[in-house]
Amino acid sequence: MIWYLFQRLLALLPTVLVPLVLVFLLIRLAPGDPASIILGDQATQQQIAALRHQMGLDQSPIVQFGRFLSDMATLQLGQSSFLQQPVVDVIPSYAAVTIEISVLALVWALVIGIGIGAIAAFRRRHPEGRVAKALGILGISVPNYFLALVLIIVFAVAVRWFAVGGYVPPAAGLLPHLQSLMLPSLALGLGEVGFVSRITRGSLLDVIGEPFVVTAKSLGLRTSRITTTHIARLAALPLLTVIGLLAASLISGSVVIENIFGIPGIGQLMFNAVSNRDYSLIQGIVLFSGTAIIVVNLVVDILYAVVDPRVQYGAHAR
Amino acid sequence: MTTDTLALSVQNLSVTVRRPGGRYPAVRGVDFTLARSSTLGLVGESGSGKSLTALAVAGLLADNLVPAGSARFHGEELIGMPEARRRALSGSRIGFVFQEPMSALHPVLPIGVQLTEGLRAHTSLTRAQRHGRAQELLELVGLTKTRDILGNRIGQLSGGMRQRVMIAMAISCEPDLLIADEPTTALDVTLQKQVIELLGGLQERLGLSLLLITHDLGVVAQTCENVAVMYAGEIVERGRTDQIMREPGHVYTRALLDASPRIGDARRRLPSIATAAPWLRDTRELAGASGPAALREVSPQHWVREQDEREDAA
Repeated sequence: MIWYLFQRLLALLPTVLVPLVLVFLLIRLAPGDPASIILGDQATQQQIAALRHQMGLDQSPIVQFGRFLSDMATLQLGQSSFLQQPVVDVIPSYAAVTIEISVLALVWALVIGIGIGAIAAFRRRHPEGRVAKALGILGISVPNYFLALVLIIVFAVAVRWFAVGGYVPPAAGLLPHLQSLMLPSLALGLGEVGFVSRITRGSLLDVIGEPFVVTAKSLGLRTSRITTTHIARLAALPLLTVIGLLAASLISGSVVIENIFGIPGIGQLMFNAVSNRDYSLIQGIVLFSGTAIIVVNLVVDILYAVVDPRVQYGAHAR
Repeated sequence: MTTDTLALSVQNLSVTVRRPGGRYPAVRGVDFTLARSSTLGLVGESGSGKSLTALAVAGLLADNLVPAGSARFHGEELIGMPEARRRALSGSRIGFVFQEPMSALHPVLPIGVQLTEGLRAHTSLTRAQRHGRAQELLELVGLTKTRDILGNRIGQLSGGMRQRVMIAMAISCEPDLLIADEPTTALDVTLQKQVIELLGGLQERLGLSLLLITHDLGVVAQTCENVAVMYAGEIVERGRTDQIMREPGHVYTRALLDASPRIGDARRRLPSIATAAPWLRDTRELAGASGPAALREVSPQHWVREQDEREDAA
């Protein structure tokens, strides 16, 4: 297990490098000189030259990249030009909100998606199974911003259970806080239900057809026991992979959803940072998002090995 | 022979394959009986319907396979039996050994969990008692280091050990009837012999009734008092094993016997069976007009199907 963990961590290093290289290039490939963009139209040549020197832009790309990496590694992410605060201080409070919404959305996506997928698989020859399958396909085709608007029209405008938007911090009471997160997390999570239900249905159908299910039946086991113990154990594996993929799509989805609902999370911060050309902030957010996705996938890899110990021994030694 | 002495009495059993293109009879008009604590070999090539017959008796047919006719287990009708009653019999009074333990056992659940599933469902034993019983079972099928094996997964065991574990699982609740579907086919020759001896030994020791499905007449000769030969979904000959080995009545049985290797005859090139099993779609036409041909008793307890133009033509 230790060896497996070590291997996984080693494999992550290049994965961490990819977003870092992208961020590095992003800022330098943008049209115009970053220093003059940061300082705006009114800056003098001397000011620009001073900032270029301060940012190291007058040095070779290799030296710049080395300096960039050491800055990232030591979390010296610079100053946000638009919030007038160090980036390191800005990100955590916004990140906390996004993480909270994403976790809630993940719960929605998994609970509803697995439910629909299981009905589609176990009742596949019955009307409800066909409806579930159709819902899964529909779910894949409907984008989350559309869902967000439908949810607002239904739950905030028509029945008025929730506010149209806005964010209530936990300090103002847990219930109002959760209420303010309800619609955004639902919109974000429901957008992934189609995907989760398709994967659930597919992996259940794969496992249901396995000979060991017939063996379990030959032992006179109850269907519920066969499902929970024999089938679920294996069908869960593709779903673990799905959680890793969802981490990425929930974080990117939060940009849209947080702007629709006015939630002060990473997605909204990103939108503002981009609108204001706040390079240091963009850099910090990409670093955060990339790291978050990588960490989630590492956790998934570890869970994978726990659920299916064969993983640790590699593909060749079954 | 009265019904009390019969573990299994199968009459006019059929299995129909339902496909989008239509219905195909895969097993037709199968009759045989298995006396208590005795052994019957069901022999035939791949596609002869022997495994489907066994699965129909065990209630394990896939959804697109429909059984009809009668199969009585100690007098109780199995075909069309309610689900709950079937669950009560399966694993507790009827055990099933599958051909490929590697796929028939769960790849991830530890052996200890799988081996005790039957006990968990059918007995009131505590967890600790089940664990102890599992160790006894592994010893019973000739395995050592039973404690280690209980913690292993199927992939960590050798081929012979896997089949022994499969057998231990099937007999975990001391069934009356053990159905073994090609239990040795996936094994090499040495292991085949060991597993057959194990099955024979268990049958005698536990007083099991054994229905052994195989394509190998040699295995039947070693293990079974009686044999039924299947071809193209029908039984073509049945009777006492020694008698049929000595005087096979049906042309197909003779062909099967000729195709079995014999010790001391290594140079001989084995003949292939000329009467190849017909395609399923053809059996529908074959069956259409007359239905299965009747079996005739050529000598006491030795039944052979009337030879018809089908075999003569082949």
